[in-house]
Amino acid sequence: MFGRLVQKELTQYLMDFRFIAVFGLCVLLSALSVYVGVENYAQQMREYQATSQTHRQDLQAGLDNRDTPHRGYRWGRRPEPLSPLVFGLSGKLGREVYIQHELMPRMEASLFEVDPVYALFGVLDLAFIVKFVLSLAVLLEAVLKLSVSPESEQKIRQIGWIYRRYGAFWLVLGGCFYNFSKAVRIFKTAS
Amino acid sequence: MLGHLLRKEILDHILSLRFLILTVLGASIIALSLYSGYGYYRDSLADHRLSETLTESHRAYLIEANDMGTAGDVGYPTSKPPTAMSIFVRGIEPTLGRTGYIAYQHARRLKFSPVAEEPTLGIFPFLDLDSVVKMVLSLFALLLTYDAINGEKERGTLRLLSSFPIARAQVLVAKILGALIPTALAFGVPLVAGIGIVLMLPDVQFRGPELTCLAWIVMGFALYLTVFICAGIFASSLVYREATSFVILLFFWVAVVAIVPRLSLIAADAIRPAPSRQQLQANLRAMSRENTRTRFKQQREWEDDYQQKTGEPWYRSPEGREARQEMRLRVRDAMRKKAQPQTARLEETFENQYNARFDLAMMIARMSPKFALDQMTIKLAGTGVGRHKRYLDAFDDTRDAHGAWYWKELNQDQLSKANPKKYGKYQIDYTTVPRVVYRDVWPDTDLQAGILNLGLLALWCVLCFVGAHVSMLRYDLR
Repeated sequence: MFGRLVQKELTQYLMDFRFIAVFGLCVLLSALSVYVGVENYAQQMREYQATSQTHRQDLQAGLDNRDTPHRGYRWGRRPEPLSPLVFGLSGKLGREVYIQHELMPRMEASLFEVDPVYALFGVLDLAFIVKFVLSLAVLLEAVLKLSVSPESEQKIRQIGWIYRRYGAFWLVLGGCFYNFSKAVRIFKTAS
Repeated sequence: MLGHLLRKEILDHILSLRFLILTVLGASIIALSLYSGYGYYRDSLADHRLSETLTESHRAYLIEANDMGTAGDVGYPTSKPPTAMSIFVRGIEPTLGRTGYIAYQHARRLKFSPVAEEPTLGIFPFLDLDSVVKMVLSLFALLLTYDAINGEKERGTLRLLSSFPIARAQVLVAKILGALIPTALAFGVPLVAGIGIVLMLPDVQFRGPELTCLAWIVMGFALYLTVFICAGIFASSLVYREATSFVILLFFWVAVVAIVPRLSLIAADAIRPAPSRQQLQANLRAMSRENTRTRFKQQREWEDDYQQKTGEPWYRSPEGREARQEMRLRVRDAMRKKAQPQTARLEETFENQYNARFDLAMMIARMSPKFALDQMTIKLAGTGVGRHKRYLDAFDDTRDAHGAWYWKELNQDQLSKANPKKYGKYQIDYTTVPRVVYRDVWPDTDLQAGILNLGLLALWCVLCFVGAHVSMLRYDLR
């Protein structure tokens, strides 16, 4: 009986136009995000190779002139191979480091620093699609599935309430954690 | 009759548990965001003061050590001051660089953004007032209105309502105002109270223009929430079931808040591709390296010529050293004159392509009310590219002045060392090293852009209202 129920539910989902539309949208967005991610990665790799070449030439010239210790040299960070799927902090963290014996090495020239347009518009990666679009699609499917039954209104309200409570919980937790991390940072600086 | 209807709508909202929960939650999040914003600003200010101290100590070191090499090659650090408006709108400020080195040979670039320095800030998203309004309160506005019309139909009260002598448009207006007034009270009162408290805090000093910008920002927030209230009522008058309008609205929310701004840059990139800034910098660097190579080649040729003509190397006699110094300056100036148009051409070509793509992306992204609000608040708060560029301009002017100072002082120093009898002893004056002079300004163009975006939000309100009105006219009230 359980198997039949599962089969019925699955068939109902798969034959539903709404499911096909949502599925199509998700596939399209996922494919687009991966395509854009791969293109961006390829471009970043090209830039990385070009700048690495420049850095190598600069370093060689410095070694030839024997002024590397004084002038220092630059070195680049290779783009992460999985960044097309999860961009994460790739745009925010520095991509170059300046090495000079008198200075502390610090990463600089992050993608968002060099070109703030990416920070302004945001980056569309697969992680974002999963976090926003797919989770929403799943939520909506659940809401609509429940709304078919006679006590739909009550259940929708329950779902809405759960969703709001879930969102509020994460917002409060995020705020607390943010301030906690600030406090840790201040403590670290002070100590 | 409209008054009665409005009163009923407001009471309906205010007395519901849903409204109470959303109000408490909204007020708490607003308070939390302002607290977090003030914390961020206070930290940024402390960092800025620390780096100012560092700048002074660097300058003191230059004077004390008489170190022309460091003055020319490394320079001294300078830091972009934070703006108190970042308490309310963080914008892209945390991802923009804030430290630069004033030295003629450093690039026109600020480095070490707060997020790059402290990756923890990047891992946990910011909870600033701007994001709270854009992400959380907009969702709350939808949750308050998704069942405004079809909810009444499902409960069976719409038929009763339609039996009164009142036009459908008036029902719609009452619904919108009935949702708008409680929302404005629920979120507006804590917002205004919070802003009032923040303005009284130490380190937060707002002048007239900043207060004007803040007022415009608050107005933008109000209009943005109105868009979502109108959209909620539009969706609820479009379909007969609450669940369906809920689904439509959530899709609308995700599309306009999260997807459209991100897709716009991708679409613009596909239509009008542009090279990246790193490519431009690489090209400029390659050109500069080529010019340096040519300069050294010319210098070596001159040295060989000099030796052939005089029969001795240039460094043996004061005249030779002086002539070489003059030649170096001449070659450098000639190379600079040659490089300037090349650089300008490269930069112009890049800027044309880059701006074409950027303008197209902006045009597409402005279809999203969230992006229109983003543009407005970030510009007015000065936490975007505009203020960053203004600081960079001041930085650039100082860098050029530093270059002029460096070459003038170096030339005098080299000449005096080359031929002390003729030029005497020269003492470099490090106290005249130029400083960055930057004052925050709030240009009218930013305000005009803000008004344009406000107009777009108003257009969204009108479109949603017209849509709701048309749907209402066709709505089966039975």
